[in-house]
Amino acid sequence: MPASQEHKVERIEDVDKLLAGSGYVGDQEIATAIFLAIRLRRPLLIEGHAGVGKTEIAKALTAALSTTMYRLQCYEGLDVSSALYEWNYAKQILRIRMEEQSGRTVAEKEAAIFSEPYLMARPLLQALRHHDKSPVLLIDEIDRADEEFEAFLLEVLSEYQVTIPELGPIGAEHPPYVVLTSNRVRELGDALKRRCLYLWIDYPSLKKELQIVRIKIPGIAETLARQVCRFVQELRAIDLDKRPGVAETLDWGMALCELSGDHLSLDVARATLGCLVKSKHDVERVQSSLSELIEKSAEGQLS
Amino acid sequence: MNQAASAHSIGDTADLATATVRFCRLLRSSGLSLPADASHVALRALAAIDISKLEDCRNALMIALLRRPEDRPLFIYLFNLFWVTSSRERRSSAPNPFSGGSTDERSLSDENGIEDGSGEIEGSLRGAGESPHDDLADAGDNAYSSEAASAGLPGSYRSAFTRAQRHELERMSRTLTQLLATRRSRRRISDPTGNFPDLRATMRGSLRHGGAPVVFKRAARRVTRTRLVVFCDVSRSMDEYAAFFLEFAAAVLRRRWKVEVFLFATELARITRIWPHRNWAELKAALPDCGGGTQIGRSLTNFLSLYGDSMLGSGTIVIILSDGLDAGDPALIESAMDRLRHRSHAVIWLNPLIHLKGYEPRAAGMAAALKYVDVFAPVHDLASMRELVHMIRELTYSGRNELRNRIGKKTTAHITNSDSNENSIAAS
Repeated sequence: MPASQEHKVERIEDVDKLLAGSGYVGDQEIATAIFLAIRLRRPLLIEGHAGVGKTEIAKALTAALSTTMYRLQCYEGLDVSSALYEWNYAKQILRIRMEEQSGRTVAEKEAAIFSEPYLMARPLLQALRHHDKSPVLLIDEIDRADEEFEAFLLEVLSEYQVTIPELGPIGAEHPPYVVLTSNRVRELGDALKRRCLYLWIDYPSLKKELQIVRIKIPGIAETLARQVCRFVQELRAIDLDKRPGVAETLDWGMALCELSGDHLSLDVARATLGCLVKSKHDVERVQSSLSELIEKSAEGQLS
Repeated sequence: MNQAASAHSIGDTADLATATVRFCRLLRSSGLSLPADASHVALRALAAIDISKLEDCRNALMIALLRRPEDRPLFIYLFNLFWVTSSRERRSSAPNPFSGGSTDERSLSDENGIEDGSGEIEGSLRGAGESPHDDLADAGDNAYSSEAASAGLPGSYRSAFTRAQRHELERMSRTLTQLLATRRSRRRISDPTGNFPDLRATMRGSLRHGGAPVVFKRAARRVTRTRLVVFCDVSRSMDEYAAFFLEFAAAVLRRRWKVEVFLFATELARITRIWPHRNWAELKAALPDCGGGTQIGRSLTNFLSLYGDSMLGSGTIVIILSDGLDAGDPALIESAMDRLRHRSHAVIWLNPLIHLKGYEPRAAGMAAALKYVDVFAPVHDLASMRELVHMIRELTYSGRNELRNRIGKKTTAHITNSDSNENSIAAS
């Protein structure tokens, strides 16, 4: 029951504990946002640069509430038939063929083929029809879907109900906790933003990033972890086209962990730079100042 | 409103409500856009948390009210001004951050006070940027005639167009926007001549024939909108043309499509939200410094770091309206243009000077930018605008591919055209 879950979340500190338990390194602001999303039952819109752990929040929330997550990955051209439901046309045609000789009326046939067994539920409908307890519905990268889809989403988000012409309205027994993420590829509509709580996640501080690296890469040497984080922090200060996110730090950390053992060397860094920067332009820019960056990240080590 | 300002206990929810509503009004009057039910949501958020911790309160209000990361610094500034400063001033009588109620009596004591107060805040926020402006205008004034820009404000920009001319400009801008800002979507609509099968419609149609799919329905890709980003140079050297360009920008904006408009001179300003209705007063407030030398490179770099991720993409078409006379470092322009070109679909540079006899894009900035420009064309009056529309139409309607590809293919041809034009001008 959702009620029993909500009992646990009385204060912001409870969210902190739940997050820590599921291995997510958050901060006060993130905890407050999740707390409010649970208590106010409002969708939570999370924006931030790529790879700062937006999607992870939904996963952590799912783990913390020990419920099910439904994920809808948005892309341009996403429409109702791949987000909400679609009729199983092949099955419908077979059924019609089977019943050709049965002598039923057209109305009966129609009722038969437009019924539950012929409905293919997509993530949104699955989340609404979830029986057990309130699931988490992650609508990922909503900015990639087009505005028309956003408008459609408004009905789902405000009423937790959808209407299928052939079946009538379907309401949610346990309204899902909705998490939307956006990379700001485009500005979202005001109507959608109005219905949501809003959380902006920036790149993590050195301390927080170090904590994340330690948790996510258990085998990493302490010196290496510090150097990696410092290096990435320095890198973000450079004017790059695409600055590395936490996901990149982790990739790189894992790669270095496999290759060089306990500290960062110039050769290995040069060879593994592809984990961090992903455009030709940026690689050139970083290569030219690589030794300087490594010195800096090692200097911080001593002080 | 003195009774609201006197000391209250935390439990006094009515007072907290008043303060929250006031705070929302302060945010609105300072230019943040809040939804209509903002104070309601804010109050619910505050009710859910333990309001004895100031940081939690700030986070909660931020999550409930703020919708854009750019607004964070202003929000934090105003939050501290409203909830922290005033309560500290009165710490003796009211130790709780919320007990201050109305806080700043000077600015928030009544209806008019709110307006005045925000004016003060804005003044103090912008003051820093504004005072050096006049100095700059005097110091940097060497190349251009100072006559028109004496006030540093767009008095001289005020449109000199007649109604008929404005209509024509509006019509042409509309056509141009329409041509540039459309492409084929991945979404489909029912279309009897389409290339894709429409199974759902076929199925529905089959019921009419007792279940046999007799009529095969088709779908086609729909035409959809892409984003246009327009940069408008309002520096002193552009005075003559600024009115025209501002009219153009307003006409483009009124289409309510995915269009973003920025003004730049020494600084960059986004006017997408304020300019569609040609509100001169608001434009004046938002206008970047117009005196001193133009900083094209710096403005574009600013744009890239602030809005690049959200506005650029393979579908975006960038239009720059500028004479290319730049006081900054040409290398900065080059790197900014390089990045702009790589992260957008096409870059169109409209330069009012091209029509002048013997003009060559020799100014260091313009020369540096030119190799990243797809279409380089003159625009200085209605006649040249007409030609531009004609040219873009040619580009977009020739060939059978998508608009996107058509532009990519054709513009190279145009660049060589314009090159040869320039050569001929230079030769003559």
